[in-house]
Amino acid sequence: MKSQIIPISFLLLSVGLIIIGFIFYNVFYGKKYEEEILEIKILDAARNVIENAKNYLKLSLVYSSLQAMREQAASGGSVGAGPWICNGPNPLPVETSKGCLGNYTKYYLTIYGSKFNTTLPLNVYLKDFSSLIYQLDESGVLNGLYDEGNFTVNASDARISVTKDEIRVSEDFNISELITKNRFWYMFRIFTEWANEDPFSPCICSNLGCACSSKSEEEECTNCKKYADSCAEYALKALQKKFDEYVKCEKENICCMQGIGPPCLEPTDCIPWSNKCARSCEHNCISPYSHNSYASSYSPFYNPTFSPNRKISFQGSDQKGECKEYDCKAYYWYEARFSAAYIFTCKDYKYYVSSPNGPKPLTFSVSVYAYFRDQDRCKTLVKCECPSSATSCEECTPKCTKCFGEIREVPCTTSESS
Amino acid sequence: MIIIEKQKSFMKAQTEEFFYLAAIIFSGILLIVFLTYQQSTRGKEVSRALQERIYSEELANIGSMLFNSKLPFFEKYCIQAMIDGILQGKDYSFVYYGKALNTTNITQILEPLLDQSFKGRWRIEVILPKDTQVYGELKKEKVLYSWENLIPVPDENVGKIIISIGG
Repeated sequence: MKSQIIPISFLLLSVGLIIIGFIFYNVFYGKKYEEEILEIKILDAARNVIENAKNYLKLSLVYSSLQAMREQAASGGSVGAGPWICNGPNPLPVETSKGCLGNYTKYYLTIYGSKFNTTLPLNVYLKDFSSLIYQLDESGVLNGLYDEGNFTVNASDARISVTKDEIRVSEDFNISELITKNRFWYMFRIFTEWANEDPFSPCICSNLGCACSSKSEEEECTNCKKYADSCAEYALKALQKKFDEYVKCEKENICCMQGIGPPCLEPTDCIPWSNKCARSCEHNCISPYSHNSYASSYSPFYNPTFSPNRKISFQGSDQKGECKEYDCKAYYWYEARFSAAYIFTCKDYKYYVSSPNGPKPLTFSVSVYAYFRDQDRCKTLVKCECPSSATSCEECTPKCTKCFGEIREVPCTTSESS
Repeated sequence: MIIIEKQKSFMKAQTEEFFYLAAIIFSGILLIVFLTYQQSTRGKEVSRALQERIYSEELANIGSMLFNSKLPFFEKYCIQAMIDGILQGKDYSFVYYGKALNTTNITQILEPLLDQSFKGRWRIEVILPKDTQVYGELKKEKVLYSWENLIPVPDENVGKIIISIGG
């Protein structure tokens, strides 16, 4: 019996040790190890989510800036841009376009950011970028430095946090993207040069006489249309000549008005004429958060000083006289009015840009407006009305100027005396 | 008679001792088997976890490369070319980027890139709001590991890319 105690206790001790060891390993060390592994896995997953978010936002920045550039180009350099020719050169300032591009790019980037999520059981919080800047300057743009793109868009001060229970991984980051093979600023530069040369509004001014045969103060163009079209054609040729072979331009008439105004106003050169075909020359950037204010920028900036649809009478001279020949004349003039507006659209086929329908040519459109009146453009020399007792032309009723000429005594004829 | 009795009890004691010795050896073997089993099971788990990690890292690298590498000359990200190809709606593999750049072939870019690590065992699925395109020969049923990420799509839309490898 004595000899049995040692092996039995050894056996029991061995089995007990195995069980205790197993329990100890699993309960203490195993569980702790498992927790550590789990924590590492969560940290890994969180870091991967952050990396994925950064990749996603980097590409989002590319698409946001391309979308902003496409839209700004189609709206004349900035959403809310005024006419680039507005009775004279009125190109959009580089800074306005640059700032507007920044606003819209940031807006789209924020939308993309808000759509980021993960299928993993993790909470993702993204603090939007607080600033977005296009790294370029006016002199660089106007000197052709960014003709092929090669400018940087910097989005800064964003933060992403990924949490799961007590675990939290957070990272502050900035994104910088080099935009290449994009000719937004090339087209901007050429349009600026063209607008500064202004081949359109002097042409409209010089053809203002076409409005002299108008029937009312303001009407759709009739005989002035061909002059408006020829001015636009001239401007289009000047524009096309400035671009290289990859860019094709076209024009579209958006309105044309003509009319005549009151007589005998102070002689002037071409001065602005407020009408349906005139709009503010101011360049704005409509905030991407408000989409209803674009139409309001189309408001004429001065009002007519006389009542509309007033009939203009042309007073001829009734001549009466007995044995007197009245050769009294005076200058008579009235106002000519002519306005025309066109959209000039140029497409760059050199580099296509990403769009919802795949890569498409970059389309840059600007509007040009010329709306003029000239108070003495329709000038004629008319005969004056003279009383029968008049001995000199100065006694005759003046027109726009005093009457001049002479009153001659001539032998009476039957027809004259009757 | 007494000698025979003594011999018998000696034999019995020897048998018992032998039995207990056998029990001890058996329990020792059991312990070794148990520990070996534990080791091998853990080993397999570790090996599987390691393999999973290697594959997931490799897939993440490929994903990251598609997001960060620009095609030479075209200067577009690989993923951007893939998205543009799908959006243009004709032949997904070819994307036209204008007169100066002409056309790029996406399949020719992806194949050498993925075949060097996973010859014929890869699949890239690009899911856009209106269309989906699959590159690679691997069938969906044979997928072992996948990596996925959201992708921005013009204008202000979101899609998904899934990179998978299989056996």
